[in-house]
Amino acid sequence: MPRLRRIISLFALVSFLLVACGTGVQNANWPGVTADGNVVYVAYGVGVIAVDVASQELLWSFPDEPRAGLLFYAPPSVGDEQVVLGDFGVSGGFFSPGTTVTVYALEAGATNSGPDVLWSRDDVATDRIVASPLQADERVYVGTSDNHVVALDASSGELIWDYETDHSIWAQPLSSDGVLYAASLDNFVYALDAATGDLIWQKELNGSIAGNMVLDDGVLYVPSFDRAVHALDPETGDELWQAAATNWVWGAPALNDDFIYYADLDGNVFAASREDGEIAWQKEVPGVIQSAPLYADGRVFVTAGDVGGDADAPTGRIVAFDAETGDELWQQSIPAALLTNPVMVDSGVVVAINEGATVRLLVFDPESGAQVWSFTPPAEG
Amino acid sequence: MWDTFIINPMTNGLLVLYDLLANNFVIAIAVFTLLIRLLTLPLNLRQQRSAMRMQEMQPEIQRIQKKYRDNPQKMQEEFQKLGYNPAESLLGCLPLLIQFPILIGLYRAILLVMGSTPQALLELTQRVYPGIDLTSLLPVDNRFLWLNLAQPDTFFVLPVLVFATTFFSQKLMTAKRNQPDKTPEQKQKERQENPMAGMTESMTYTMPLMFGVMSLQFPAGLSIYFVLSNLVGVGQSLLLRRSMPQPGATPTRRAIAEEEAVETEAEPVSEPPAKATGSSAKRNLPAGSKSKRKTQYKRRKR
Repeated sequence: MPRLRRIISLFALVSFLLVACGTGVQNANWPGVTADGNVVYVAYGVGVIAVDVASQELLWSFPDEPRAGLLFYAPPSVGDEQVVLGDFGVSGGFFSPGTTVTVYALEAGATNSGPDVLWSRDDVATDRIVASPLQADERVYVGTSDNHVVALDASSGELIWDYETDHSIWAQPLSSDGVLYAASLDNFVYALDAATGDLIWQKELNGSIAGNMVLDDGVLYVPSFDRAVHALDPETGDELWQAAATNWVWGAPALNDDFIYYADLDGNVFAASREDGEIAWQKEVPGVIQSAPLYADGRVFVTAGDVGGDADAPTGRIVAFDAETGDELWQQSIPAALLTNPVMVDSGVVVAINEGATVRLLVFDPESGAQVWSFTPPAEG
Repeated sequence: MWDTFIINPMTNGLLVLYDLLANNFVIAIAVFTLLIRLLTLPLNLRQQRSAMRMQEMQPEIQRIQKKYRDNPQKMQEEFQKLGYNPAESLLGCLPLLIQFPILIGLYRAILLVMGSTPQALLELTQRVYPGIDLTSLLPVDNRFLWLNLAQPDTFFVLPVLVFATTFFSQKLMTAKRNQPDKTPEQKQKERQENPMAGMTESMTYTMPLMFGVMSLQFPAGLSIYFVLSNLVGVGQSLLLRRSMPQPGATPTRRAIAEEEAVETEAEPVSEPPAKATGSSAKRNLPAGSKSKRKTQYKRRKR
């Protein structure tokens, strides 16, 4: 009997271990999506694709062949000449634990075949690139997870300057009137001289900043994990007001003339006055809202997902609200946690979901919420 | 179940320690290691004691195996008389097996607490227990000396340390006490006669190698846990070896029975009984019975 008990215990332990070993995360992040006209660019793990939603065709994919361990999740930055993106880094091999992280400038407007790599830099970052790079004034600004903001020459990729913060940068930098604004997980917003990288001012908040900032009409809006959106003076960094939330505000706020729209991890959607941050309306959506709301034509679109729940049946939602009143206009459920920012193209609202090693794009009619198209890139080779 | 009972408690435990220990993640890992070692201490002690006992029984076990090679039933009976259970040597692996869920859990917990990707950070928010203010703890400081604790050590220092400390820890656990090193020929002969001993010896080399190589891909924080855990294990082994009686001081049941049988047949002891000490005194054996026991072993070897 004791022996039997021991054998059973050992068997239970081995089973437990096998279950434990099986709980791996397939994707290291959710897809990063950018829209330009009717073309949607998606970084979805093993590659980046450009899809023309109007003609419903895949324009190109990069790289030509997926490379083991090489992953892309930062939303590509789309300019007139080039598409700039960074990767999550690739290990040099089992016996070479160093990671090589690369910034690529791809030829814009490529069709059918893969885009040419105009230049690439694998020496400006040592840790993942999560944020979308910024192209402005013939420069490319990249925030890295190894705490740096780097300025590169847009045509050659040459390093112009480098500024180090105290923690990772996951938010896309922002440029205006010769000033580059960068937000870090170290709780600070930095205003740097875009030409030299010198610090002009820095402002500490009470929480990390992971989402993009928005600059409009002389106000810098900063979403923060300190459960608020902060309105800062872009010239001095002084706080003008803050709009409260009940949990972390991760995604960038969306704006119209009167309100800022933002959401928190508790699934709350807020509309606050741009004058003083006073909340005009608040609605709740089931699930977590990590993404940035999207404002278009009097509607606010938010995406939400069940995170950490029943992994076999994750659910995501896209919900449209009336921007003025907060009334829910429509809601669509998706059998996957929806964590990407929704983007608007001429033919509808686009979201992306991971499906194993590939991605699926879903396009919804903004008025009715009807799904008008879905797209999955053809499997390689 | 795995998340609820292993990963979430570890993740929250690390966060609490990080909060209490001046937001130093390496110190948090060090204290966490001590706590894990403390929790698994009874199991480790039992396994180490059992391993030492097995080593002392080895000559007797080998003799029985040789003698009753063709009679497994009798062999089992003799083992039983000796107080040896072959399944016990399998259970000796239990602490090592217990380490695996801890390692896998810790691997996930470190990556989660480091929050090195948006997805990991979002997942962390869903695992934090009420009462822990994650906002004030972020961002977790992921730098220590030259290391990024969420990534492997690119200078190979930690993999080497993991290999060295695992090797030393294994060697200490399997080394026989107070016995001179054997020649390669003797080792070869012992491996042939006792495959289990051979396996144990090969584990002494393969385990450190395996963990050392795996450390090349481990986050540095996990390798630090490994090194600290091994060092605590080494200290524990040294203390245990000191506290355990020396080989021969605790003879097997069979040896005692044989001693008693010999005593009844033996000639009267010529020398006057010396002052009894140690284990002999406890069993009221006359001085000199230890030497008789040695004679018994010699006789059996022939």
